[in-house]
Amino acid sequence: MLVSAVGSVAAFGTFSAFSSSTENPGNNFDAGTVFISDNDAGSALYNVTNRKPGDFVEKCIKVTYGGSLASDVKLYLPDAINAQVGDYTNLTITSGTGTTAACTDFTADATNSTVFNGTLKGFSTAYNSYANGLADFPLAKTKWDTNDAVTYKYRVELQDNNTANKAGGGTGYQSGTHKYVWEARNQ
Amino acid sequence: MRSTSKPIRPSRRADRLAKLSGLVAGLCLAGAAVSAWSVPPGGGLAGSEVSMLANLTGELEVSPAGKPFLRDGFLLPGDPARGTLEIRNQTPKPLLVSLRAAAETPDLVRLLQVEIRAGERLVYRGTLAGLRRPVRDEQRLEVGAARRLSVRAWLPEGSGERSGNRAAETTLELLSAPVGGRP
Repeated sequence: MLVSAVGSVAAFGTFSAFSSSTENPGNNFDAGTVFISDNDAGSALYNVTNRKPGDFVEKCIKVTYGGSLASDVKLYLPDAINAQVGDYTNLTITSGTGTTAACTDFTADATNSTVFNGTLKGFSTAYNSYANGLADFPLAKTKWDTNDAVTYKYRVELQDNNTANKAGGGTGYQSGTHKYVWEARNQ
Repeated sequence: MRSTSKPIRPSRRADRLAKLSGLVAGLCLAGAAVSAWSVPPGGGLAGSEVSMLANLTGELEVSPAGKPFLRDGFLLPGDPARGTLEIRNQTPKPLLVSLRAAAETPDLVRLLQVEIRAGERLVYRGTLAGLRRPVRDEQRLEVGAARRLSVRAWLPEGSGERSGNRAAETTLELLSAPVGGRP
């Protein structure tokens, strides 16, 4: 009996040695995202020919930011524009809300809605890459967050200027196919 | 008169009995100690935390956007969580829509069952892991049209031990393509 009792005490003593530890649990390292998209489904905002002075096109495009990281978004036109048309084509870009390409539900922002007002050639000269792109933000914000969206209304109008009238007739001057790019980069 | 005394010697049988009693008492003591130190088995249920959200895309208006359309903070096996999501084509072309799950927390992806219906039409039924690959809704979404997606998520009966206290935070990604492709 004595042997058993001593054994038990000895065993208890073995289990009760001093001990200490600390740990740093739950580590994880996730990447964020930058993702921007639009609602054009691949369609051009405008693709018209044989326009006469004063003719214009109004179309809208909604740009949505779906990334998780706060971003800057810049608009630019990286393609060359033929000055013989581009210098005499007015371009106005207005920001607001709406979803239809025909702008039937477009509402301009109450303040600072004019994003650009000039000529098509002027736009392409000033803003042709991300580096010199035209920065724009939703309303009064200074960044684009997840689910932010801005609708841009484009109005493109041929000036009443005979310089744009190609001498000799036939097919008129062409602007050249061009695209608008909204590029997001995280802040 | 002289008195004499003899030392009392235990018999060999009594000696063995005492040793045996001591051994039994020691074993009992050790058993009691082990029993006292062991953690009592829990009888409570451990639920899982499940949530799903979808974000806007350029081509699809989503409601609700950016906040969970399905959430259950204590999902138990056999008791499904439900939610609905509405998408609307905001492009000038009909779209084909695909769905893909991006599980932020990978705990339950192979266990959690998901069913997605567009009205009565079954779009997907299977594990959350299976929804990591895009699943296409074969019915096209016309220009300006809206579609309501009903989502049900549940844990299989008897999965409590594997699913308890775990989480599945999922972003349901909406992918779309114009019918006929992009120009």
